[in-house]
Amino acid sequence: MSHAPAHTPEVFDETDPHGQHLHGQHESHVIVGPFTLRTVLIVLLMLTALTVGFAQAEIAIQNWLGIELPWWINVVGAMSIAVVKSLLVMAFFMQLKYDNPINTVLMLFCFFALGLFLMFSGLDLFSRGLVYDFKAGPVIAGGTGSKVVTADGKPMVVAAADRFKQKIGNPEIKEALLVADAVEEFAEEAAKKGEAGEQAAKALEEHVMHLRDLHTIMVHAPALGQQGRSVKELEAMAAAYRGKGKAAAADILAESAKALGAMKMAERGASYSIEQEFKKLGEAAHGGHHAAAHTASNTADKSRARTGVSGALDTEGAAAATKHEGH
Amino acid sequence: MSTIPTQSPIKALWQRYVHAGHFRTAAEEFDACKFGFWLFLSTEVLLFGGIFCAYFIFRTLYPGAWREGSHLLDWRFGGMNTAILLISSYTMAASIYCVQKAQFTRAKINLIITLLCGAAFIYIKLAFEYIPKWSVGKRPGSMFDYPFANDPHLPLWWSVYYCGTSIHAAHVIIGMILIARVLYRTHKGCYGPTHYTMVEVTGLYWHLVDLIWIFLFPLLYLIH
Amino acid sequence: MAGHTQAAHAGHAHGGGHGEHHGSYLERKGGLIHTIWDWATTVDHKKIGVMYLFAILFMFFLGGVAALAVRFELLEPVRVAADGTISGQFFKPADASSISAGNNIYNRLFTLHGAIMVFMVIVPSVPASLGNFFLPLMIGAKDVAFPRLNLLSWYVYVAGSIFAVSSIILGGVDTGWTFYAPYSTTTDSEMNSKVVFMVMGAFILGFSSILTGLNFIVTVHKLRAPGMGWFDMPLFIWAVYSSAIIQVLATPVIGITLLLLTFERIFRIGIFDPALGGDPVLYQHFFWFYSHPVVYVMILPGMGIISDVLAVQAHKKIFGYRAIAFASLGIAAVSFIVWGHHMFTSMSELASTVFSALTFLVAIPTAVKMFNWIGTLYKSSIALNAPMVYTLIFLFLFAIGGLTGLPLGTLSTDLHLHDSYFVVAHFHYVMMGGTIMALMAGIHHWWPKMFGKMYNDKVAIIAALIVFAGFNLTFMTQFLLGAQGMPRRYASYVDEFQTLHRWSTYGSWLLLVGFLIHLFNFLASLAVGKKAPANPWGGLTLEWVADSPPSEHNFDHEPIVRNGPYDFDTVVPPHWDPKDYPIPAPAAGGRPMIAHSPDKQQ
Ligand code: HEM
Ligand SMILES: [Cu+2]
Repeated sequence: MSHAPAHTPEVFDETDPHGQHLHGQHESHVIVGPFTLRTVLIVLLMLTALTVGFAQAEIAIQNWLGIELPWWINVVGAMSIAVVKSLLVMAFFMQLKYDNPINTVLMLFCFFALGLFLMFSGLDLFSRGLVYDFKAGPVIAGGTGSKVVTADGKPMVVAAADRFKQKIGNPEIKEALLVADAVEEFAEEAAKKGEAGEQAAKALEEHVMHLRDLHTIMVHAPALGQQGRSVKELEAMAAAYRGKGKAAAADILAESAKALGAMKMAERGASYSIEQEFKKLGEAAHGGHHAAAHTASNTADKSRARTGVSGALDTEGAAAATKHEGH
Repeated sequence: MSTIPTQSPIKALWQRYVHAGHFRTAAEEFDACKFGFWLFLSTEVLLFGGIFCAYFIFRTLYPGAWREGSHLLDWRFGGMNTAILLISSYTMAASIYCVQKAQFTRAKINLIITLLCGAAFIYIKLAFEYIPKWSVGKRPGSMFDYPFANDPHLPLWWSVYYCGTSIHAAHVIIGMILIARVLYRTHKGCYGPTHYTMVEVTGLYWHLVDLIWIFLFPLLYLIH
Repeated sequence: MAGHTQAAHAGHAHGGGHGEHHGSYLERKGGLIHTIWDWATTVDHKKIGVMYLFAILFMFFLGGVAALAVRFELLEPVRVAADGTISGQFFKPADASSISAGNNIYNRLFTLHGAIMVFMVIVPSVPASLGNFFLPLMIGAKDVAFPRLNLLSWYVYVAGSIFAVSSIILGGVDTGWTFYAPYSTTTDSEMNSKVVFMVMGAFILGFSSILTGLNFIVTVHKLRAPGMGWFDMPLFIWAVYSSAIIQVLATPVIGITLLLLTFERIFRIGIFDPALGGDPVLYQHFFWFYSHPVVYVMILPGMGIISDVLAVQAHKKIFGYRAIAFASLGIAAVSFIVWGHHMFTSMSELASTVFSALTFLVAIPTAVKMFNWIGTLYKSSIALNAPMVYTLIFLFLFAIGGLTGLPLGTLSTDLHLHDSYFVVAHFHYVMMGGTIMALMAGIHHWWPKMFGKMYNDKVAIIAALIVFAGFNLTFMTQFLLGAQGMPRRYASYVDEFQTLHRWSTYGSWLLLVGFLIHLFNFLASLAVGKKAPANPWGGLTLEWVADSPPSEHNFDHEPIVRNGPYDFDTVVPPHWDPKDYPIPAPAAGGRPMIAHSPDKQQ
């Protein structure tokens, strides 16, 4: 083990014109202090908030002001913030700023290679059919494969919907849906009863959402006794309101609970077609907690549902309602 | 905050560390390790490059499915996870600082917080994203069974979503294992102001995991 | 002037003041068990290089057996007579009732052959074996930067190989080495595990490749001996360095590709399957983004060997050192933007045109190298020994291989030639005629250094000529077949092709004979070979300063480099002894090659 640690500089000048091997490059032991790190963290968190806010604002503009923004605004906004964030992480947390520049060069190379990969793959996939039409032919889901589960070569989304429709024929599950519907009607009525009513209506609306979310899960799980449970929950809500000193709203809720319990769900349900139920469910699944969006879709849908014109997969209303669901 | 007393007759492990014989100096070894690790990180970037490429291609080919798909994700969980990873990145970087300054208790606390953040990330991913989604049929490819889809290519969105996030989650778990090892070895006194290569390198790995998520988050949750 | 210059003294100095002498790295440490354990846990790059060499040669043997079997099947076309009897089918299960049962065996055999040869032989061949052994030696380092990682990469290689090969035990895979989706994700649906094993094997092998490449890059950056600037490195190092860059940047993409393919296979996620909405051409992009650059991982180190062997055996300063060095980097760079030439029939017209144009760029650095090699040979003192013969074979065969790449890269002609035997012949000329011949040149060149024994040069030359003849017989016929329209990957063919197919098969037997002679020659060398001098060819690079075989720590003192690797006109080679190589060495009065670090001198 004879490595020679102590070389005198003049020897290196003679034999090592580049002078790098024996000294140099050791300044990389820079210690990045906590103040810098903390500042960077705060900036990063703010940028995260900013990017979320940006996306939300875009949605708000489109939904409320009805302005269609070009798609790239959203993409460019989100991606440029992500790039800034990643640069911060690399420069400070990963210390590229203080490090041997070779590491930075390496990363640039790597991103360059990635860029080539994306660019040339895109060059092909986005320019098909310039000369021969068939090259641009659609890739059809459920199309050519032989061993796919989709029955009768249906697209998978249609097959999934069909399977669901068969399940929804199950009366127990259907009943749970009807409960949600009924509660919703109570909510509408409550909303007409002044300020206290509005408060109760809000609570009821939330309950509807809850029921429908639960229901979506339930389809894939054993049915729960929705009706009885719902009545109990409404009563609990009434109690809670009473506890908060909002007696008027609590009264309305309690009334609703009583009425719901008394109702004969099965009878009411007979007037709904399975298709319509399905339609509503779709909406519930798409509809978020956003009250305005929810009501909008609700009314659009109610009218259509009652006239029976809606198709199974026509969730135009739902699309307007947009947004996230519970989980 | 404990510091190693300098006059201690028995030196701590990090003080006794001797660099490998084929390097000329410890600094050279440190530099080489970091360079090697950056090379490894570049392979990781290109590994995820495949996922990004699939995302990019399919998003452009089937914008409808991507729009619909991103609406089925809740940005709040993604955002929460982003914040968690950012914070853990900070604690990781801070733990390196503490080791460099021989503040071993603090270093360990920071590492533990990092670990907890990693666990929280995985928990949120599983409990609020994977399990509820999977159970309502939002699954990739042929396992797809979600009845309220409009765009026929929605299953493809879920394929990209699950592949990207699960491979990322696997990296989070690997990172946690590495951090646990560093924590243990810090406890043993293997790292200190003159020798902290593994701490630094593990930190780099953890930051890369963060870096990938910084891109996955807007791509999956925010772009519609 | 008699051998003992200061430089020659360097290698023999026994530690000077340190007084410790390190034995050869091959020296046995105690009993058999102990020795095996010592090798299995070694972090010495030389031992790992040797272990790689043997593992790779073993896989070469396995892949070769599969190749011979494939050629055997093609001796005769498979015919079905009017009464239903099948003739000309050599491989069929005992209870075969249909023609396809036998054809399936054929499909499995060529897949096995291709996968083994590409992933387990050619890709790691030069860098992992000779590269591991000689890279640290040639730059004057004690070891690679991360020795334990190096050992790990060997185990990963073995694990990956076992994975991949075990798919035969499960019945074999019939996808071809390219694993094109959706065929690979749907074939043999009753038995997922076969394809998964093969694909995961390739995935694991990728890690080994990445680890090796990463190690080499860091080693070259950090561990060059004092005085060795970038342009004082031997060209072999430049070549290995360039290919390591490709390994690091391209291999992860095949990693994710194969991972997605496995998900696709097991869970049917549909990214590549049109039946599930995915895009099979996307798979091809993923695959070739790796697999085109990787053909340069295969050839670049081979080119590096040729540069070094050629200069040493021709005993002349290499012509255009910088041009060759930059050509290596240029090839590495261009290799990332031409992958589409494998997909002309499946891509968009625009992309095909662009990729076709870009493909021609590859020819430039490749031709630069060819011309520089030939320029070096001009008016040099060529020693026509086995390494040189193989070098000349390489130049001849690789020229053909490279030139036939051009009609393949030309969009219009490729539409005819694609997926024909012409492609098969092309890539065998570059991979076997290029990489394997270069590997043979390198093994013969460095064998004395690695094992400290000389081999019988005459026998080696005869074997090389047999290999050369067999190779051309096997694959020249395939150019003709392909140009006439014989498609690749079929167990049978129309009768008109039989003559050429027969000659091709005879050629494969000749190849077998040639390689067997080599095998015996090497075994004989190990058993009874005469002891090799430290510098049998008069090389000027640092590995010739070390003993033959090198001591465990390569050099007793860290060398300081004062001259370029090919300064044959001005420098006395280390350990120079004119009777070792009867070439008029120009070194009379020349200066010694290296100096010690100052504190060790005198
Ligand atoms: C002068 C440079 C080269 C050019 C222009 C070139 C061009 C091509 C083209 C266009 C093809 C696709 C043919 C087709 O499928 O229709 C091809 C196939 C191939 N080339 Fe080359 N090539 C060159 C050098 C090399 C080298 C150096 C290697 C490997 C050491 C190589 C290995 C291969 C392989 C393995 C295939 C077939 C892949 C497959 O489909 O299984 N080529 N080459
Ligand atoms: Cu190619």
